[in-house]
Amino acid sequence: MANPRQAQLALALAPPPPKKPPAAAYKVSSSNPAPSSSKQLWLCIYFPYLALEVIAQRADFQSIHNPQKPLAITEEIKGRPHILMASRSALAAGVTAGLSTASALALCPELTLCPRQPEEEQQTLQALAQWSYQFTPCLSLEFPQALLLEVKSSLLLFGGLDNLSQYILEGCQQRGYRPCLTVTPSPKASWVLARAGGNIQINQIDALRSTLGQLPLSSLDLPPRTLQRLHKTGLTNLRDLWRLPRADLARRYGQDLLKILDQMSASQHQLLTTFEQPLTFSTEQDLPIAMENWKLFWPAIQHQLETLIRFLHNRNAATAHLELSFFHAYGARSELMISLRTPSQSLANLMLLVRERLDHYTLPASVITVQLCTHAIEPYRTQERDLFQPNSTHKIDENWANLLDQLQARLGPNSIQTLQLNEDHRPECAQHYIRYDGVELKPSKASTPQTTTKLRPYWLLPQPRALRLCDYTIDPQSERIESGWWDQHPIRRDYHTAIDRNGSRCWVFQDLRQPKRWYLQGFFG
Amino acid sequence: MNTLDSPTLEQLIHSQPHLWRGHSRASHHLAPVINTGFPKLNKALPDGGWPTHGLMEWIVPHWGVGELSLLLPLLLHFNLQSRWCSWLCAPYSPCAQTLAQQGLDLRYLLLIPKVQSSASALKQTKKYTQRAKHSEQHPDQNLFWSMEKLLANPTCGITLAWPQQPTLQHLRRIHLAATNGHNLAVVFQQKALTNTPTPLRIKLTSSANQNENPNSNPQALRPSLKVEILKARGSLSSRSLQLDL
Repeated sequence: MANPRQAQLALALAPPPPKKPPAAAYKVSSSNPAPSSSKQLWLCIYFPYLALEVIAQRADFQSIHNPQKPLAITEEIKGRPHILMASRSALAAGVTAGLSTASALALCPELTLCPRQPEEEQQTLQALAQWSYQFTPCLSLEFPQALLLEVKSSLLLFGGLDNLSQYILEGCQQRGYRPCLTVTPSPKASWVLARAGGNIQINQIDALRSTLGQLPLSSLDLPPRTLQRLHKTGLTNLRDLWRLPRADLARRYGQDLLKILDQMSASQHQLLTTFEQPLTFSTEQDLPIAMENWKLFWPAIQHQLETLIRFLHNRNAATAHLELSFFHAYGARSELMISLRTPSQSLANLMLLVRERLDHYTLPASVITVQLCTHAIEPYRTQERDLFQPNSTHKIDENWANLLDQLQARLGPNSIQTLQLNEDHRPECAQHYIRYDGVELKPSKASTPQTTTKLRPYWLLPQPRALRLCDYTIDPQSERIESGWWDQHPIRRDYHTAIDRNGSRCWVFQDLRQPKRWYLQGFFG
Repeated sequence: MNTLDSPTLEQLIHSQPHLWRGHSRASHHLAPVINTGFPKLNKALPDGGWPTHGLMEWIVPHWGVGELSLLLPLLLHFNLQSRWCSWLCAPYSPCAQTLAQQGLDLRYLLLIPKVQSSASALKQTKKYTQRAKHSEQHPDQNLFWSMEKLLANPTCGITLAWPQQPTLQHLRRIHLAATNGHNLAVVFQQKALTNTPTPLRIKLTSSANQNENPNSNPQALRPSLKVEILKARGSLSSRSLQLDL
């Protein structure tokens, strides 16, 4: 432990920091506030193995791999993949964090490597946050790999801190996660202590300070430069920092350091963005008698849609997805999904779409209850136009989007398509159809790949069709296309133009892999 | 005699605004048109180019004879106005590379492939037998329904359709929708219907002679397109011309 006098000496010797604004914005003069019993208690659920657990819980991973099989998560450091964490069986084989993938595979040849999936981790945290909403209304996802719950107000309901912690721990373990739980009066301290690996419960602010004092400075998430300077000064523990005068600390290392210290010791309240449950709407209506034709109970659906629209209008929201469920006798149920291109809050539009869908839908049995619900509720945005070029809308016309929705409702979900170019020389791979669900016109023109300037036909056959040579007059000039040797569909062909018996100009090719076989690829229509 | 008579006759005709004159275009109002890219064809069409809205019927006995090259100026015209180009039930897939090479913005391309009619979807369910009795569906019902909806919207530009068996009633409805929405519709057919209400009907064939041995003819590898104007509202004669694409 560093001697405080030594530390002060070091402070005096250290070069003064470059020009900094005077520390007036932050109250540096106030000494530590009087200790009080904490008003808040923050429970941190920290998931140290989240990256590993997310991968291990994937359905496809479980089916392919034996859970006992070694697994490691990799992350790129300076462009090269390194092991971030490894499962128990991999650790037993000697694979540790920080190894390069090559050495890890050398140690354990049957090791499965998976890159880290930050999006999936975030989704898992969201789902866990929804689950933990039952414990407290004040819940935050602000710290990485962790959930922070304010539990002071819930203690009575759940029968004390021990019971609550036990309950949360069991719930997480049932879902396949191994968390570290820490309870302190400060959210930041809870997170730091949980990350340091402790299952600690601290109710009093004074006790918090003495526990935190032993923590090394590296466990705080300080900027690396500040950390280095503190280490050079001979400061290693939080306690060393607390012993120094606050005004000098702020002058030398900036106010952010003081802020972190105060947040740690719960003397400054830290505002966290609270997690909010996504908005949902659901309404259910029983029909007086079982009905088989939707036209008979259309008024009920209409009423439900009106309720939905009122709900949306009150919140200035719009929805992009509707779920209409029909309940039949003996618990049977059928569902109808209606997706919109742009979120809408217009009753007429939704009614039109629902009618269009029902028109082409056959109810499997008579209906006793109708349920309408939606989870995809988002803030309503009116159509935006460019101020300087009012005619060049980047968003497609709302009218047009509604029309496409209507077409899609009648023709099927994949009925509206558009073409996309690929950078490939093979005619079969140079383009593909994508489902048209665009709302915005992406500026794709600049990135249009130009693989060739050679003549290409207007019509392409979906599959090359074998042809009889005697029906065609073939131009001897040819274009060789040889590509795709790196994947499953290599081609080696000589393309010619030709005229068929009807006088259409065609694009034909001779397959060089099976000589004397000629195929028709397209028409120069 | 003639020199004295003709001015008075001209004057007489000009004094009657309701008089329709078959061949001359000078007298009646010139509608805005789209340049076809071929001066010969421009001259043969009633207003000096393709119409900007309404319905056209193109009779193409064999797909791929050159109909898309002839169509390209139309596609580009609507593309430049940031309006859409929809292809309904096209016989083959249009080649994206070629269209992009010709300067078409692929973002304004909509393809609606062969639509499964709801009748065939219903066949799988038990209720089909009950329903089929009173609603035997036309194979192109969904196509014409979509086409009508698209054409009625002013944002839609040009709609191309390849129906199986259009009826006169369908074509009339399409023409009305296209005229009201100020959009252009092109219906491609392999066999011509007679007496359709379409204002402009053309037939496209290849000029290559089928009986002649093509190997002997050096021109055979670049056959020209034969365009027959079967019907054009506003002009009396039907004529045919050859275009070198």
